[in-house]
Amino acid sequence: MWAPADDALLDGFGTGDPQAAAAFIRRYQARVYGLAQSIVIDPALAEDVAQEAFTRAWRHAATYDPRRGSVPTWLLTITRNLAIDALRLRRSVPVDPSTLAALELTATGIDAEPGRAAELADHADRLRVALAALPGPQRRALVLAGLCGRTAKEVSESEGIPLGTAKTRIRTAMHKLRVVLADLDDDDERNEAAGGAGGADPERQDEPIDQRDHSLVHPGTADLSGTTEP
Amino acid sequence: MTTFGCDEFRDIAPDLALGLLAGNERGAAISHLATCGPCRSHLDGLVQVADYLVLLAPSVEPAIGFESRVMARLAADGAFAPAASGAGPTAATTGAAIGGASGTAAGGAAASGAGATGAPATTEAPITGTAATTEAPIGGTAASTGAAIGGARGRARRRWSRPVTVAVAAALVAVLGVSGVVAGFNRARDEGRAAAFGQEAHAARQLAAQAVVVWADAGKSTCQLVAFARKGSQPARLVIHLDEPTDPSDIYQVFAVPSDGGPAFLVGQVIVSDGQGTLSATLPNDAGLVDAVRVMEGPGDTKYRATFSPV
Repeated sequence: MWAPADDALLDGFGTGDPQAAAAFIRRYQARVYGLAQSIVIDPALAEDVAQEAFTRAWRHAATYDPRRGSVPTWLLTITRNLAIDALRLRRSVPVDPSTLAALELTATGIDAEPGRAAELADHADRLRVALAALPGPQRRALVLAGLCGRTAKEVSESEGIPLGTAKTRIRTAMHKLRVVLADLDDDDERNEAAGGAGGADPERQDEPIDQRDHSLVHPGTADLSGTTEP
Repeated sequence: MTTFGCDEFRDIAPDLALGLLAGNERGAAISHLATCGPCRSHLDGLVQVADYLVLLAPSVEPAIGFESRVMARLAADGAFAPAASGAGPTAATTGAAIGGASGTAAGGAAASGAGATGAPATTEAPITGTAATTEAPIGGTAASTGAAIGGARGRARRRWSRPVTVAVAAALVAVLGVSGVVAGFNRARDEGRAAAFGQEAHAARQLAAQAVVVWADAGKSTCQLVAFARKGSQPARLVIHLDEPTDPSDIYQVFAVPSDGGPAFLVGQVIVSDGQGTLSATLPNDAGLVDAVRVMEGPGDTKYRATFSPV
């Protein structure tokens, strides 16, 4: 019997297990389709994108690396890229103001879906709060760029602002959110250090590796040629 | 190609992180990353924000029958094809099936990969310091292509032959340690783009990393993977060494994941005895490219994974 863990389901999906595939699709179809529709707007095109996203996920399931993010993040990033590609092939449709407002509300509001509560705890949840705290124009610009796949140029056009202003809004908003995430990472490290000796949670034993490894490969911080671990 | 300075890069970095850049701008940006550590770090932070942002998108149920339509499409693509007889076990028993063709220039539409060209073209250094120093690292000559260790292109699709030594309960995934970035290389094809989670961040890491695949879980066990690209008539080679003092007797199966979307294939076993085990396997010269190598403890139970990500 397949464990319900995201990773296990993805493994089963990638290896051609029909039951795992069906379960995987059921688990994520609303989120994949929802993101696709946020970007391409047209429902038929969104369906195409969502189907393609699952196909790509199957093809590349084995390349999923849990250290770089959760399964939904991985899958939704595939979806986002496909949707943006699809959008570029067509004339970009401006995001309807009411649609944008609804997206802002969803992205910043309390998520009512019980299944997502745990997953959104911590980083994503904090990001919601931080997004809600942004000045309206910055938030709109970031939602347009990050959830609707609009470039800075398109944001400038739809918002009726100069390109430089659009870029500044997106950049400023992203940096504010980045600070929030960085603070959370620092908290995690502190907690880990505090509970490290003798109190390690076996369920979290991969985390020190993640951090060390990340620091190893972090751009500009290490020349890894010839590096070995003890 | 246009090249960017730091100011220009940071001007477009949010678009890059959000997957919105295309064409020349993207190429120039990636090219800049190859030479600028601070900008890679900067981008890394933005990519993290972008990754979390997609989680905040609304859930919308697709039209009724979506699941069936996707399943039908997957079936048409061969996702559920029955296993080809004998394929996996053959590879496993010979231990000679992993192969990485790295030099083919085929896949590379290459435009965006400027950063990789030239940079990893050294031919002598091993991927880690622990192995022979006379062979080229994977990716060392692969600047214009996808990557690394290879599965044969055109090989019949097949399902993995699942190890029978591990209880199914082990499918509860326990990824004890994972890692793996090997060499800078460039693959500009669409599949690469779509498949690469956080691609830009990977690019940055790869370009800095060149190649290291060493895993460890909290000091208890380590796994080292050394991958050598094909060089002349010498086939590509993969060496995996496991050191597991706390689990002195175990058997792992090593799979390679072809870049062409084909199913992972078994390349050999690491038999751990007295806490240590080694697999050395060569890849046939007709092998295609490989995206990843997995060391599996059982079905759905990847213990170690090396991902060769596109830049």
